[in-house]
Amino acid sequence: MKLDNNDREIVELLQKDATLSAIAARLNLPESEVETRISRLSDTRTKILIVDDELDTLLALKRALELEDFYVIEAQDGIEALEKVKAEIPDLVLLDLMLPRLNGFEVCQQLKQVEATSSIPIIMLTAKSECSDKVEGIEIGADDYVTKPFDIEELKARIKAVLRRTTP
Amino acid sequence: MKSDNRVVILVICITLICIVSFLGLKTHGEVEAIVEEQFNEQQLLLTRQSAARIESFLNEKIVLIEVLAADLSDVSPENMTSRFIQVYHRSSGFSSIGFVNRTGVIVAGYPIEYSAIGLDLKATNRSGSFERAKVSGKTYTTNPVLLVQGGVGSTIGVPVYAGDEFKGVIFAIIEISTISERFLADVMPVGHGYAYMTTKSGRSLYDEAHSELIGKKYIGNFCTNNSSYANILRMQRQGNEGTGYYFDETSGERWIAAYTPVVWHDRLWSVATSVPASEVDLLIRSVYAKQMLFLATVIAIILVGSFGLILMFSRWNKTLEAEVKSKTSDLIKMNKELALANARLKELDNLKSEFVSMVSHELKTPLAAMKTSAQVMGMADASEETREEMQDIIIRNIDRQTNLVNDLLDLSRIESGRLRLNCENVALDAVIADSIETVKQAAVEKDITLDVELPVGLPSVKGDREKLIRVVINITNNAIKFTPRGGKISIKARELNGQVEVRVSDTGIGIAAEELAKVFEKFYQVDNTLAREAGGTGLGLAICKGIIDAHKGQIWVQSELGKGSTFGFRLN
Repeated sequence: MKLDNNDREIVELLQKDATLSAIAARLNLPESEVETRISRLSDTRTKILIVDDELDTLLALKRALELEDFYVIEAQDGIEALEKVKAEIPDLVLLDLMLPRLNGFEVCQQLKQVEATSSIPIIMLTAKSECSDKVEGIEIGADDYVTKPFDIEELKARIKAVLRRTTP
Repeated sequence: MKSDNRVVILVICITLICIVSFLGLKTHGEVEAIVEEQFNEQQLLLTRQSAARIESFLNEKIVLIEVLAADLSDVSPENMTSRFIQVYHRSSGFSSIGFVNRTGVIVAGYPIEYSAIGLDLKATNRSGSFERAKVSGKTYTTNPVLLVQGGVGSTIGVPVYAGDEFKGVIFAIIEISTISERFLADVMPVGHGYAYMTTKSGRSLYDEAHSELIGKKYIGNFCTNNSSYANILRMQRQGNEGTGYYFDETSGERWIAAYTPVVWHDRLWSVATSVPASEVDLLIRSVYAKQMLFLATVIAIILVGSFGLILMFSRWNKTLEAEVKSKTSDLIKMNKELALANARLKELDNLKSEFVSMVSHELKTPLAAMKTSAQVMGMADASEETREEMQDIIIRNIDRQTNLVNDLLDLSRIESGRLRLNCENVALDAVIADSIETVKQAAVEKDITLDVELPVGLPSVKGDREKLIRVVINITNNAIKFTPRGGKISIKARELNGQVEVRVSDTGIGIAAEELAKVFEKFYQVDNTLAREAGGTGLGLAICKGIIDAHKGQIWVQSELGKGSTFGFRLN
């Protein structure tokens, strides 16, 4: 899990037994923000970002992964996905191809181009199953490719495999 | 091809002209010979004719005098004159008629002034012929001699016998000028040669062109003995008939002479015509002129024919070219049409595969949600709350799938023209009311006001009630989807030109002008996110258009980006 400056300071202040409100005042952040950051910092589970514009698919997948004890965050379009990745620094991204505003390929390309996010593994999810789509996805840096509808057990296995492969 | 034809025709044309010219030139030579021959023949015929007439004239005179002599055998010389007068006047051509008694003295004659009555032939040494007739008892003739009364004449003498007793000689003088005036003067047209007559000895009896020669010999007076004319004269003197050329030194011209002998009693004369050879040239030239005219006409015909052929060929070529051009342009047009049709087919194919890919995506998406949800429900550590949540997802996606399948089936029916309308009289206000009932819940959830305005006494329309309800629901649902929370949707109906118009206006996001034309296309969605959020299939408006089209009505949309849209339709 990657940390920004605020996170580091929060960790330092917590080690000095500072209170929540003191930390908030010190860092000039709202208390709720500090609280979220603390809960995030204290969460040691693997963090997965699911990007899908289909809310039902998103919800079902989220529940399935939560039951597997993953920490799941979500985004519903390409732009939101890029913002979430920068803010949350997930351990893995499940990326749907057909997305509003910025499609899956473009999101993948942008993440792989930026140094800070290039090492985050990406698994593409889509209802399209044409071979050319798979090849394109892999070529621009996706780590794996799963077609909808998928078997949840298979997806979990692939997630674990990708994580094993990419985590040092 | 075109120029080849022309060359062939030109070659044929030139060949024909050459052949015609060659034949013409060849005929030229032949014509010259023939014309010359014919001309000579004609001259010869003229002389023959003249000679024959002179002969018969002279012979007739001889006979006449012989008859007269027989009649006068026992008539005294004193009484003869009256008979002479008779004969002289009845038969023209005598210069004088007289009687010489047995002693050789002219005792009677008429006309008296030309008769030299009392002339003693013996005394004047002119009795040669008289003596011969006295001895032989036969008729005689004399060579033309200069007459007492002037001119040249021949004498016919016939001895008269009373029984066996010689009584004397009846003589008649025929002046040559009488003969020449009668038979020779008009033979030749003036300016085209002349006629002449010679004796056996070559003396001139008559010469139309050289009257000074009359009575003289030609050789010595007109030409030398070895001249070409002398040869002609020789032939004449021998009593021959024929034609010949001679060269006249004085005029420096070539002449053609035609001659025929005149034989009467024991005299041999010769009648001839003399024509400059240039006359023949004149004739030949006139023939040539006609020949050249003929040649020119033939060449002209050949040229006109060839030109006509060339013209015809080039016209042919032109029409052929025009035909080829039009056919080519037809082909090009057809090719273009084919290319267009091909492009359209490709476009349709692309549209089809796009459609199939869309449909498969739309079908797979709810399946993915259902599968995952079902698997989550099957997990042992799933909470009751999660299970319920998953069950909702499954049910919602089954509905969505069902809607999609129904929409696809409707669209398929519409596109294949199999949409069946159960037509009846439909009151549109009731249709709107029923539709509102269906969509009300969705509007309430988004806090959207539905403003319905229906006039009293709206006429009913012919249509399929269920399908029209579907149209109104689709349009209104669309409006609700694209109108933010707290917005307003107004539904109005009115009568317009015998039609009923329904308008659904919203205060939603609106549609960009360039997108307006596409809203009735299948799977078209202005904004995927919103559409997905609202659970649309992207087929609703396409189906609405299909249904309204099947009712022969019109459906339309007006919109301004950010201010809202109005969808409307009119029915009869």
